[in-house]
Amino acid sequence: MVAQLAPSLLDASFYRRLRVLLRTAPFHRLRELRTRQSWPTERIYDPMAMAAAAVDQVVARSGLVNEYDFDTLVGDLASLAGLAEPDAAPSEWRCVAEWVVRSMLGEDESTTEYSVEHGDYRGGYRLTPLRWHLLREVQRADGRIVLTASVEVINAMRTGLDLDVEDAQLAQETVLRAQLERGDLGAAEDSADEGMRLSLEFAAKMRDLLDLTRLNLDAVDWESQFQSRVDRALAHIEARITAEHDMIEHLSTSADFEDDDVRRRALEIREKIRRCLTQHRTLHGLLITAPKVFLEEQLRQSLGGRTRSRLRIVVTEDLFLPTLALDLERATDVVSVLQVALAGPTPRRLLHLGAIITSLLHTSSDDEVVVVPEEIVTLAERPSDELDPDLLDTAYDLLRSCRQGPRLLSDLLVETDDPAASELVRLLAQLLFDPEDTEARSAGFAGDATLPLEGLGSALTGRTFRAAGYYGDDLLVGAADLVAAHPVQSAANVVSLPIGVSP
Amino acid sequence: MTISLHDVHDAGRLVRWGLDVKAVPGAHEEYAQLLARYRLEDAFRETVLATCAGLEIDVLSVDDQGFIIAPRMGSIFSLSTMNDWESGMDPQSRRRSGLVLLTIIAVGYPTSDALERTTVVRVRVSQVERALREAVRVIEDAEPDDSEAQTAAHEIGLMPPVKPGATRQLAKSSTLAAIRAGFEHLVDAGMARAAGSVDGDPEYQLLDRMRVNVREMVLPDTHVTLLGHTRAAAVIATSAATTEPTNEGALA
Repeated sequence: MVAQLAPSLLDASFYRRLRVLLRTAPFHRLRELRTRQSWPTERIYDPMAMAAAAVDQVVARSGLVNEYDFDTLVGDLASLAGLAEPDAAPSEWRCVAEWVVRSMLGEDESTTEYSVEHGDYRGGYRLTPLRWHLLREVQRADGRIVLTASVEVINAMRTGLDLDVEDAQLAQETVLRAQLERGDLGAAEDSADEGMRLSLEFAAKMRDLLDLTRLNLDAVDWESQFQSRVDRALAHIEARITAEHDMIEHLSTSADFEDDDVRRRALEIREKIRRCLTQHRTLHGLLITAPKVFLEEQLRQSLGGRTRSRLRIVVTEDLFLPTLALDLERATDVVSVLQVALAGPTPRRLLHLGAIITSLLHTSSDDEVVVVPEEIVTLAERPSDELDPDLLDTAYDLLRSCRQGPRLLSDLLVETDDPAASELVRLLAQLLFDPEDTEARSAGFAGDATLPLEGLGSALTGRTFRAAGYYGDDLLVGAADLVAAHPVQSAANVVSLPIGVSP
Repeated sequence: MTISLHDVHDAGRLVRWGLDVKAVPGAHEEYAQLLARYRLEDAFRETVLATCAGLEIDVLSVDDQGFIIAPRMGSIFSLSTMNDWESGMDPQSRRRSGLVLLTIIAVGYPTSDALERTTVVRVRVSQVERALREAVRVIEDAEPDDSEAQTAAHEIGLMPPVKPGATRQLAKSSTLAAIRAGFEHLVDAGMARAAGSVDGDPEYQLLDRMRVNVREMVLPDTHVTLLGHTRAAAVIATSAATTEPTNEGALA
């Protein structure tokens, strides 16, 4: 029946063309959704053109040191948006650009790929899923997180036809050769651009193959599938390397380029071909060592002590909800295992006794500079009406305990787990030392703040301390007449530090 | 196979780089060279793997991102006490912290397939908050009122999303603070990176190290432990049901 109605529906090439059409859907969707965003509907931004330009730019810089990252691409697209609507605010341009890039990274917030189904009439009608991504973020060896374009989107942007990249490379190379031989450098430059895109597409395809192999070791048939594909790819690359080498040679030795403009063009074409050559040489090296992908994985599994997990776990259903259903003791046990696994390796630092003793014996000099990080927000910046009465009681109780005998501020600060209570203790101790303490005053303490601490006073000890996230002059807090015996100095300086920061 | 002292030294160096969870081979020449040796020289690779086995370390992945390793349970390199994760947590807070981590994983890697792609995933705090509340809502709708799940869900459900603390920071008992704390732990472990914010909503990137760790360790280990407990709970429940005298039994 299908054969009579529409015979092409039984042809594999029909579905390749159909998939190419489907893969442009996200671009059309951007155009549809552009009027439903936060900027005014009358704006004439073209997110579809911006997205297509983004793919071109990402592909052009792929593998180079200046590969695009998220922020750089958003910045460049924001500039394009600015050209479209010069009177709009730059923040709006950025908003448009960020929406375009985020849309290209994933269909919505919960996935990094697009997914659609299409009808397939071969062997009876059924819906076949098609999943792909436009851009994705990957981490490079130097830690940078950069954007890459998928094989599918490079292909779609290249010709709109689902041509095999190897065949397309051969065809493009033949055309380029002919253009160079007849001296048509204008056309050759375009062909060289196309050649670069094709070599990147081919590289992406091969990397996908290697990734897939590593991830699905159990499923790959080494003898019949992987090895033959790698052999074919190697033969293809070797032919490209030879051809590119010849073309570079031709452009270097040709005597026809006497005109400055012609010579400049020739140099540009040569540079583009050289990039293809570099790309192909790198890929060649990668494929030559491809058999090691298997050996590495096998050895890792045998000696690494852990075989790859093939569990199909849906986190919410298989872990979250069942953990919630356990009693507290069992749930915390499960959670502990999770935390241990997520913490990764946590190497202990061994004690270096010499360094510790030196550190303990070190006393700070008067000119020691304490740098207070700007981002630290202390209670001193809070308006007085925010002081929590419960916290104040805790702080007062702690300080009143000094009536039994003098105590060091450094000891008092570690007595409570609540950093807010510690902060109040610090400020009150400073008020006991200096009733005009400006920091305590600006924190909202009135002159009668120390009334509940009647009879108490504080004095400098002449020592510095570091405890509970604080660093500074240690104070002795106790009965006023006792601590008054200590020499009085002009100021006490205790500052808060973030945990883990040493002065 | 002949192994020289030099090889053993270099194997130790590679393990050292693996323990440095924030180091990347592209930034350290020695690290990159040792990784190349690992890939190209069989004898060296075996020496490294044997060293790791001796140190009770599993090799999770070896690629351009680095030598990703993880301590086995009880290894000297694994967390020794839960205080190492975060001090001063009561059991309820610990359970809540674990559930937050599971939600971050669920949002970042919604399917098993997502764990197979070397893609850096962006997750925002608000996404985790929504997913957490949605899971709680599912429990509250589905479970009986007096169940443990209902109690735990209620506990989370009662947490305000935002609660200002005394020091102008979010109070620990707010959902957003708990989620941010979860992300910050992941940042410390070299598994995530802060990526600014969107309209004031903090965003994080889950790195490849996180994906590998979740796939190879977190999910299998947590799943096995969970299964052990759920089976044990089921056995206890069955045993209680068969041994406890019922009214009918008493009458009989």
